[in-house]
Amino acid sequence: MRLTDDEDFSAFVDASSRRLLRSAYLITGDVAEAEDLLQTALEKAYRRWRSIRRTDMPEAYVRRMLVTTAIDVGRRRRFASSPLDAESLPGCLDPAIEGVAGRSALLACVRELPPSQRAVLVLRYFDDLTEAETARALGCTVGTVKSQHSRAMARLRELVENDRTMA
Amino acid sequence: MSSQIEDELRVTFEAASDFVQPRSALADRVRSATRRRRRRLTTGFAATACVLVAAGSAYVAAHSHSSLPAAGQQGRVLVTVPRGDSLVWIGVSGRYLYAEMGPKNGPFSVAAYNRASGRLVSRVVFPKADELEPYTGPGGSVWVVVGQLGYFGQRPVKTWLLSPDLRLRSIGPKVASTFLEPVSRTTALIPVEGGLLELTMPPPGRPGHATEQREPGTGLGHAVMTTGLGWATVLDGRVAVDLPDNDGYDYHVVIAGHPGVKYGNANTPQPAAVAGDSLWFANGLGRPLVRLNGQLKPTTPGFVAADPVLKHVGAADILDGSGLWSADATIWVASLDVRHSLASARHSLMCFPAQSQDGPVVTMPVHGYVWGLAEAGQTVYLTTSRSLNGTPTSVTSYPVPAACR
Repeated sequence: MRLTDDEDFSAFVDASSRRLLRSAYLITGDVAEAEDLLQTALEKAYRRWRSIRRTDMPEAYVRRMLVTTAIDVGRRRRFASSPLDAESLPGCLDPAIEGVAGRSALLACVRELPPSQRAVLVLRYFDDLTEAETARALGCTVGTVKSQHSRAMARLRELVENDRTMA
Repeated sequence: MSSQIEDELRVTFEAASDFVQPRSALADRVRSATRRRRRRLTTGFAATACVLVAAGSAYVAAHSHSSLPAAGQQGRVLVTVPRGDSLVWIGVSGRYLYAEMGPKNGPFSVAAYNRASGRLVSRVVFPKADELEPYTGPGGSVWVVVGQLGYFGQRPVKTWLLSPDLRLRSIGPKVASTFLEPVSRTTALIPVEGGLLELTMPPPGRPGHATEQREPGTGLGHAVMTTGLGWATVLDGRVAVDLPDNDGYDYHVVIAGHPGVKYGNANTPQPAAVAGDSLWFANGLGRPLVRLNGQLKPTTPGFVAADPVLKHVGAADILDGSGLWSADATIWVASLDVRHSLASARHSLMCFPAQSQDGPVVTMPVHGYVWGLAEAGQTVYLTTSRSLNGTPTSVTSYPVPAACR
């Protein structure tokens, strides 16, 4: 039986919303904000659902709206744009050594990154997107993804090294 | 170490977000919110105003309703859109009924119909638009802010000013907000960071360039973000602006140039509707519909506060959708509830005179769910769907009940 648009939309939301929400949360660091962003992105998708569903990648379409908006929100938030201050870091221990505590600290370090770099990491290592797919999700070039990824990893290495030194 | 961090990032991201769960009934919330977002405010200039309120017909069932049923209201289907398209917005001005149509296979479009006959006059297609925000303005002007998807999310990219029949146009620059307030045939006010911007467009079909200049004396009190700014509307000769605060988490209304005159501090944007010199508000969940004067002081009539439906109009949860619209003389309230079959369809649309102190509240037996409303003269135009999950595909006209004028 052919699904109606609304049944199709509901099925899409059921299947994809948790993954998308988790991505938004990892970028924004705030569950409520991530929920709002996801709902807003889905509203935009719903308005164009008839055309979106005809593509093979409705999730990519929604993810692009979600991620770009999350970056935008992150840029506007003070905590996201505050300069990195090693003394204010919550503790960025070597994750490989510290296990769960280290992962928590690593996440804290990720949140110190600029939103666009954070988004690249989330898309690459949580959503398992390729560089090309990440570029599409961000609406930028593969070159931009590469440079953002490179800077993000360099910053993370720096944070880990700083923390190791302080420890 | 990069590889080590990469591996750990995967584990960390999985573990850190594992607890996150989407909101319940998210698809229904999206449908309901989509309806609400489209109900945007315009002013008495355009004779239509849109807003969003939450209401529930659960209250209709739970409370006796003192309103009067409107007798003999027969609707006439005026416009039916092409199969597969859906109506996103409607507005009226002069002899025309305007409709924004969502895409089936193609792009968004705005069409003008003869509002007496329903005949299609012209249709403008926006091939690259991801979003449209159309407005009707003074002198029959039609404004469309075109938005596209980009690296920073949805952004307005161009402004179109169209002749009443949509056949002539002038195209202006990217503006700072999709919300604008047409104040003449060729000018509109745009709320921007710190105040209002006046956008002047060449008349449709004439050569020239659009100009923008800061409107003096329109300060909003403190810096605000350009993104997230809400609507602006003329209220009693001044401009009221829906202003985000606290990084966009709170909103209140402020009079431009008089930042000390403000109302509200809500957790979510609170839409409103202007009728004459009054601003009507859905004052948040659990609170009644309120009327504000030009000083943004509550002046809610007693009959509204006492009405068993209207006093709870903001009380339902997010799954309940309803609408609040206004024209110069009439306030319209539509109540919906996805939990019920709307057997109480006679309560699906109510109206009352905007300036009255004692009502009455009149109900119209409109079948289906009201998505959009526009009023001109003695006629009200509705877009409805048979179910909340449906999409509106036609415009039906009804006479405005005499008691509501």
